[in-house]
Amino acid sequence: MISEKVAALLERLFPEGAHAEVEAGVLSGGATVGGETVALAGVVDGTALGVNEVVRLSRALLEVLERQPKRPIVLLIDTRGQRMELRDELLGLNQYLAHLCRVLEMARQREHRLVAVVAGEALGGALIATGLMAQEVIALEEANPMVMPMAGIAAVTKCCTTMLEELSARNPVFTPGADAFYRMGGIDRLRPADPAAALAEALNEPVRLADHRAAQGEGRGGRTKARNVAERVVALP
Amino acid sequence: MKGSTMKEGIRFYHATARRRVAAFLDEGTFTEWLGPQQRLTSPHLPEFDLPVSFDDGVVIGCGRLAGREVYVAAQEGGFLGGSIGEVHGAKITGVLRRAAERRPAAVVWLFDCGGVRLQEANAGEMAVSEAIRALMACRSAGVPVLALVAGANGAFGGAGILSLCCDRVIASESVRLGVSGPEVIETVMGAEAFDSRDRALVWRTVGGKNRYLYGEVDTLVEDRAAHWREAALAALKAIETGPLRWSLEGLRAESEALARRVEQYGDAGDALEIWKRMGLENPEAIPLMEVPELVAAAKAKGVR
Repeated sequence: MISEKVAALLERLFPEGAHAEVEAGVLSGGATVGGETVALAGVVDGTALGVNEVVRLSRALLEVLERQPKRPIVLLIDTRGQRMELRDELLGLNQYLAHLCRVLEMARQREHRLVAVVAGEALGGALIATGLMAQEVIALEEANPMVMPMAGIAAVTKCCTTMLEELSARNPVFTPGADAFYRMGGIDRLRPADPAAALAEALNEPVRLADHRAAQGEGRGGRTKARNVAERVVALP
Repeated sequence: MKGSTMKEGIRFYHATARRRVAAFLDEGTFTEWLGPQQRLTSPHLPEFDLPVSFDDGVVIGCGRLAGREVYVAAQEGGFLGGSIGEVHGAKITGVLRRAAERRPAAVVWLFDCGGVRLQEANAGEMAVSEAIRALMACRSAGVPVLALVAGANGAFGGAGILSLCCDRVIASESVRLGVSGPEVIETVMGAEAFDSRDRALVWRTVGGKNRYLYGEVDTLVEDRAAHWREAALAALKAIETGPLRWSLEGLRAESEALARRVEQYGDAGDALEIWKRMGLENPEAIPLMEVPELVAAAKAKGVR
């Protein structure tokens, strides 16, 4: 069953046509971009990424890796985050998310161009295991990536939410949302005027294995130390 | 002689990162990189009026394990729960990238980490992702990465994912591994979702023994320096002589194993029920078992 939201997203991203099925929030399918066939996978409709969703997504991705060598993959992301339930923690959700990271890394190593489109919520561990494994991340108008809801942050840091909200208003390192992640270097294309054209452009880029994000974050003033510190370790005598 | 015997008996659970490293490596072989004298501190914590640490909560460097060169990263749980901030994460990513280039025998990551440092949330999230990519690049370059989950903060949040991206996971029975901590689940979803004050429930859900019984933790050790060393050496040997795990076929097998776990235990609701379904006799006794006893019971029943 495809929601209106997903149907509208597909129409906006793939004017040359797309087909997809969504089963319990996990999307798989295909589309044509610039005359080339691409595979679609993702988690949509705000669905939380739990053990069931990871298994479904992993199978869809492995199917592409096994049967369609080098076919580009577009990851569609709209998830309220890793599933926060005792059941999923009990079954070892950390291992499932790590598995998903490995599958996506394998896709890039086997020369599948991998582009993520954030089209809604994208929280915490779910973002780490999906979009942040792609070679490029496009954030649409409705994208709202964040690490954790404010209530959770307040509980862990023992700060009151008023103080946190005040801080987040002036410091991008802490602010939820796509602008802040863009400053960090984690988003490559922010709210493109023509999402379909931006996606086609991103898919035209060659496979990129090196991690460009710390340098990108430094260039945008969001992370001043990450690139420098990592490079200093590598360059030690 | 007395000194080295004492060292072998050190427990890692409450030890500092530096003490863990010193006890883990061959005596006197550790060289620290970008140590406290370099004063690499978090640029973000002063915003919160929080003190900074001159190593940003992680000790990195190189040393020898049974004579072989290894790189290490050890998180300091005493500083903001060992959490991953911008500098902290970049130091570890640097170690992994350096290892991919210079090829030591292994990278050993001593985890003691509650996850992303929320005071620098976005930079911490990026740091976790960059460490994951560097870790996989390191493994692809043929340098194994071992996760030793030894500290009181265990490996949670982004660190819970990172630890399972390693080639092998070694843990003691008292540590916890997971993504969302019980306190966070309780805050966001309510106490009926996960009662974080029920210590026995928390422990049997995310504790080392449960993770071991699934195969999520490869080796369960008694918390003594000598056992951590022994387990790390055995893991290295197994990696060097065993089949390649990092392959498409390996990922397919892993995917199906994870699917089976959901089918077999997805409706169990509690670790006690899962252990019962695994065929372990008297699951109620598992929390009280010593490590060798549990390992023997798991092997006898073919659980492991």
